[in-house]
Amino acid sequence: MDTRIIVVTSGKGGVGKTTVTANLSFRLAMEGYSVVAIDADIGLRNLDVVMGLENRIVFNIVDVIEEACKLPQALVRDKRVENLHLLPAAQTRTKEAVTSDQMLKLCNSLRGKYDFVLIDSPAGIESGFRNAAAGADEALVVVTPDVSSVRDADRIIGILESNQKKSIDLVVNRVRSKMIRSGKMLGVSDVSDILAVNIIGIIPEDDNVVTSTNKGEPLTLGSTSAAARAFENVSGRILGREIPLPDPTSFDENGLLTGLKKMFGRKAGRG
Amino acid sequence: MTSPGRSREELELRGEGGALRLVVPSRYRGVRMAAGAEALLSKAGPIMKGAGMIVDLRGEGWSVSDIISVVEEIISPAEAEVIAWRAEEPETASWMKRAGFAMNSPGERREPCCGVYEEAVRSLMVQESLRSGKKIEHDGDVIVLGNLNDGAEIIAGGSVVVLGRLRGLAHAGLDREDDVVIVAGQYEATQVRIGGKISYIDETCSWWGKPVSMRVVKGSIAVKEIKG
Repeated sequence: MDTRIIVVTSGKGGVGKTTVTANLSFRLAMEGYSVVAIDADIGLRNLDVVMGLENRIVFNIVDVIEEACKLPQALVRDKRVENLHLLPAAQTRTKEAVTSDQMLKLCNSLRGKYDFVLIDSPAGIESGFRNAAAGADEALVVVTPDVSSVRDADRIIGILESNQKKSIDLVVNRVRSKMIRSGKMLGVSDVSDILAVNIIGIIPEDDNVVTSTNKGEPLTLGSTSAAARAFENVSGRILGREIPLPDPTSFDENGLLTGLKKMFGRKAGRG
Repeated sequence: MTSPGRSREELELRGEGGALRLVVPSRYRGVRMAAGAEALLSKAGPIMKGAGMIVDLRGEGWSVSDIISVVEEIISPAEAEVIAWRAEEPETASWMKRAGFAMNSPGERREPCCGVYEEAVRSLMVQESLRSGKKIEHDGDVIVLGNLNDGAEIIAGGSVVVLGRLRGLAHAGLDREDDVVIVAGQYEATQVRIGGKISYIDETCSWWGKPVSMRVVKGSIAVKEIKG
């Protein structure tokens, strides 16, 4: 079994790394692949909450590295989706508790046992990010269409390139079509021009993300919202399917909610 | 009437001091460059690898794109380094000098504005875009065959030429400002520095996003849009 180890990173905080990691992990597992999601944000544990697994944590990544437990003991298996596991971060330790070599060894120990390992990286370019990226072959860089996020992503991509990652793809998150159309937000093409890496996904801003995060039920678990569909398409592209990218200026028109509104609007009109 | 350089019809490689001189006749401009370069590299590629090159442009009518094709077709594949440029035609030599190309022979002495003689410094050619966080410091001219992204910096003793988009910080002429320029294929930076002068720029400028050259004129940074 060839294991694909992908780090989800960004540079800037708050752009949606954890949300992307959780949703893609669920979606890939729902497609039948075995998946381990690793929370590498040691000291600021979040992935467990977004995945709805916080109550079942016994051991964490630092326990594994310090050999306080075996790796399988620390993996939290999701009961809703078969073959999905979480390796949680430690909340009471700091990023210095893990070194790049230890992270590399941990990732290598997962090779051949799972189809996908998704690593949720902390923000920044310091040791936390470098440790998270150490064991990964590929990178997904999450960026929002604003100047500061793009600049930080550019920095991260430069570091990843110097680390010779096999592939670096971009997920443009929290896209607001109306703002792009009115020129108040950077367009996806602007982001692409500046960063010059492949765009693998465009995710619209969606209120459902907040709800799903709070409930611990990632959108890809069953929602039919625009963001859920976008995450499904990203996982499809990761799997090598040829799925065209959506027009980022027309999410409002093509979104399910808008579609339903139009449908009911028409019916009301007829009635 | 024979035009300058007409007698030199072929791409030639000659020794000059510790460097190699690449003679490029004007007839190799355009579509002939690829074929000529291939023949040259097949014979002399190993000799050129890592060598300091003086590129000698013979004949008339050289343009920026012609010079880029010399770099792309010969210099880059050979993994050589341009240490100086020459142009037979005075007009070509003049605009190349204004655009920041190092037109001095290696070791040739020149007199800077302060009146102190100094050795000509090699140009640094960067063959990729500079991403945020990258910083290049070089005593001579810096030529970037790509973009200078927001958050990246070039601090040069000489001129700075960015053939792509300039969004980062370019500081030309660290200790002098009279004979250096900043040239950008597409200017989109909010600040530019030449010598001790700083200029703050915003996107309301008519030349924002356009090719420009910048130099210090009468104590201020003057910007000229490059047209055509």
